[in-house]
Amino acid sequence: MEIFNVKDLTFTYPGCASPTLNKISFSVQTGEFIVICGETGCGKTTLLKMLKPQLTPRGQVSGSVVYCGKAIDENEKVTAGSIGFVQQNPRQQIVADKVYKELAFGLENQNTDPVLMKRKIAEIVNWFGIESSLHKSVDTLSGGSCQLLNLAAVMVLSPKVIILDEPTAGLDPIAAERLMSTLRRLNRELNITIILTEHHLDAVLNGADRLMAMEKGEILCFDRPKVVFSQLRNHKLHHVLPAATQIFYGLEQTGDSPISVKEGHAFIANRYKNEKKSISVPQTDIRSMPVIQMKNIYFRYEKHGKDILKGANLSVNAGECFALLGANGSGKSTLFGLLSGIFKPYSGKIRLHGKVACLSQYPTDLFVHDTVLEDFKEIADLLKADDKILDTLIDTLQIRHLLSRHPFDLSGGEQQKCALVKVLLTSPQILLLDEPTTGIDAFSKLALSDWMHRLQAAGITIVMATHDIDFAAEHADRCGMLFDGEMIGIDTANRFFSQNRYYTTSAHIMTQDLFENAVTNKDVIKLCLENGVKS
Amino acid sequence: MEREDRLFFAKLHPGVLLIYFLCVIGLTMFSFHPLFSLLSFLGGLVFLGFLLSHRQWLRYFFIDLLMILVIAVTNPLFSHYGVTVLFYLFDNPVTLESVFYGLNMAVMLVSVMVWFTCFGKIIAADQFLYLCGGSLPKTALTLTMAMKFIPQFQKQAVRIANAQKALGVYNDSSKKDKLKNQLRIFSTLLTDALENAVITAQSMRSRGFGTQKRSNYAAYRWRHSDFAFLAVFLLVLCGILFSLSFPELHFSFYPTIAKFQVTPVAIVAFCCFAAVVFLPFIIEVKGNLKWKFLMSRI
Repeated sequence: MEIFNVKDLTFTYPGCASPTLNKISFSVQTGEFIVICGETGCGKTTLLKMLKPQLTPRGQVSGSVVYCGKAIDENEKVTAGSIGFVQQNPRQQIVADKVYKELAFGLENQNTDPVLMKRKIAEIVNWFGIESSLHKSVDTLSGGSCQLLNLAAVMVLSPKVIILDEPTAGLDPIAAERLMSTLRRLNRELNITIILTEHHLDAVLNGADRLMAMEKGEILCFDRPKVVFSQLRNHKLHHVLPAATQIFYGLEQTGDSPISVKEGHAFIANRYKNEKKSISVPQTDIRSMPVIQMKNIYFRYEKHGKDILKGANLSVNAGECFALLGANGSGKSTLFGLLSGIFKPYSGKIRLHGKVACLSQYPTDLFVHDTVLEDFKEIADLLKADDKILDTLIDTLQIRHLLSRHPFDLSGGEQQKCALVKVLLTSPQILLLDEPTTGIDAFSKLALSDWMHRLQAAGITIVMATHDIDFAAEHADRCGMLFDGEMIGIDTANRFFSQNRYYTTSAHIMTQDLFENAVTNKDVIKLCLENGVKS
Repeated sequence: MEREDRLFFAKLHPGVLLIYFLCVIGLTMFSFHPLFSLLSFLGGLVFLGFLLSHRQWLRYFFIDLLMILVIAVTNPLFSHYGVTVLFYLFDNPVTLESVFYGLNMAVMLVSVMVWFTCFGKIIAADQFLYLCGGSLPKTALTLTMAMKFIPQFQKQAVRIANAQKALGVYNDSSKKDKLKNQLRIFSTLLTDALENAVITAQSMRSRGFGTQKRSNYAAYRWRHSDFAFLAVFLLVLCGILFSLSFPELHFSFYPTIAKFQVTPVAIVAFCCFAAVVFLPFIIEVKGNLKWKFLMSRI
């Protein structure tokens, strides 16, 4: 049965010259799992909102959206429940203070009978297995649990379809995987149609029936993932493809591409020789001038609380890029707080050579004024900095077109760049980046790595805390992991990831029994080419 | 604050509990009879024994006694009514009547406080909102949203303060600078909050808010025991209110302390009031005994 039928949908926001959606036509069958990808600003979110009448923005619409055989805006009472919508920000979507009240909220809106209401909530609580947190306050939940709660709160209304707008954007990889596996279960076990947008295709493609690639308000292609991939191979969207697929196209192969790690391994093992097992890693010249020295750091937040850091040691050399890895709550942000002087350790020594500046995970925390330029000017005035410095920074990061905008109106990647200018105005020698890759798309990530390399070249030492293993493998000089209050496994990025078996890149997991130290996609491609095809 | 739901008394419907507490507090305040005040004080105090640990209770008890003493001593210093002068302090008479008046007032005030403490421990904000939900659904929802918002706001404030402090540009040496920093944090926080409010509103709308009349989630069910409790309680309450209309229960301190009258009506009133204020205590003791008895049979 057809659940959505979109025909020639064109949408223009008021005051915009060009349409955000341009003649979009597609249809979705009941029980399909659909993933939409595309650059920020390509119209993904607008398209999703057109499928949910309660959220449809004002503007000029032409064309039609048919939901279950009827025009979508015909019956608001029905679509409120039967089309579920989950957005990006886990916490902001929650309405009530307690978990059970949040679950009841939608049912209360539908004037559900209290006896039936309790039964529906009981069903959902059991399906999601969240009974233990039923009476908890929502502010005690983690981001991942909040997002699951949002999903559960939509599920109580017995929807036919759930639409999700980048649901995993702010989550760590483990929470993201938990959400995705719940979505797969909803799709498989309950036959619920799922439509979601996502930047990290690696995580979502398992279980997806069809993939839609969008560009500038139009559908580039909409088909089975493998078919879409083959069309994207030379497109700039190819950065969002999974590791196995990128390696496949990197080796200039044609045909059905591998998607999963399993398929990727089979492809490489069957096709390429592995006589040469290791790749030579260019020795970075050892700069033994440490700018950060932390020795035996002990820290806790409360007098009788538990230690967050227990004898952590870290030394970072001038001009290098150090990646600080570790799970949520392992103390990465605490360590940054110590380095930027917000907290003081109760035991141990921190020596810093140079000024430290920290770019928060939430760039908006740094914006105070109504336009980006005003914000910059304030800092420049405070520091009595030359206007030229500001000008050069604006040009280097290419944000001149954003200066008159309100900082909160920018995309995640743009906000990050503007916040960075603010931070760099203080001319730091050491830059701390807290989760720089969370909440930004694949293209902003490329821009991020680009300016990171430029800052490094200018002699700035970078320490980044991140969950993003692939990003760390590609761009960090050295890595270390925070575990149980200590820094462990500090080594060069290549050695760190090639010696790990599970906490490592997909490229390495795919090839660890074939090659010794192929860590990034590029490494794998290079080794495959050097070894040559099996005869 | 989490609710004390291990108590037997707290298992009653929040509506019943609300009526009970309001009546007890009202009676204590408006009867203005020394024996009523005393009974209410003792009743509240023994019930509080179930809500606090021994150490907390003892501390609470001593603080109460101290407060009673302070209020009782303060009253005669300012009020010079009454005919029995005990002595003169700075040329002002200190009368026996005003000492007793102060004492009564003190016991009354402290017992109201004790009952409010019990009230706060038994009826958490959650139940209160639930009770409002029926008659004031919009207010209840707004308060619920506010209660979700406040802790989130606090966390964000700390995060923003840290992020701006880590920038290391803003001065905080003088009071003026500190105020400026606070304003800066507040400005960011406010924009953030407005932004978040849009998302919350969208999330509410997408789940059908405002399309029709809302119902209320029934977290609590009316049980037979609730009706039984309420019936008995209301009956006793009527008895007390009725007896309060008799002159022997109108106690006055000025100009001379009235004679303590023990008439049948008064005895009935005292017994009824005692029954009311010790009711939670009795329910608790009964429940505990039953529990012990059941355990002993296993």
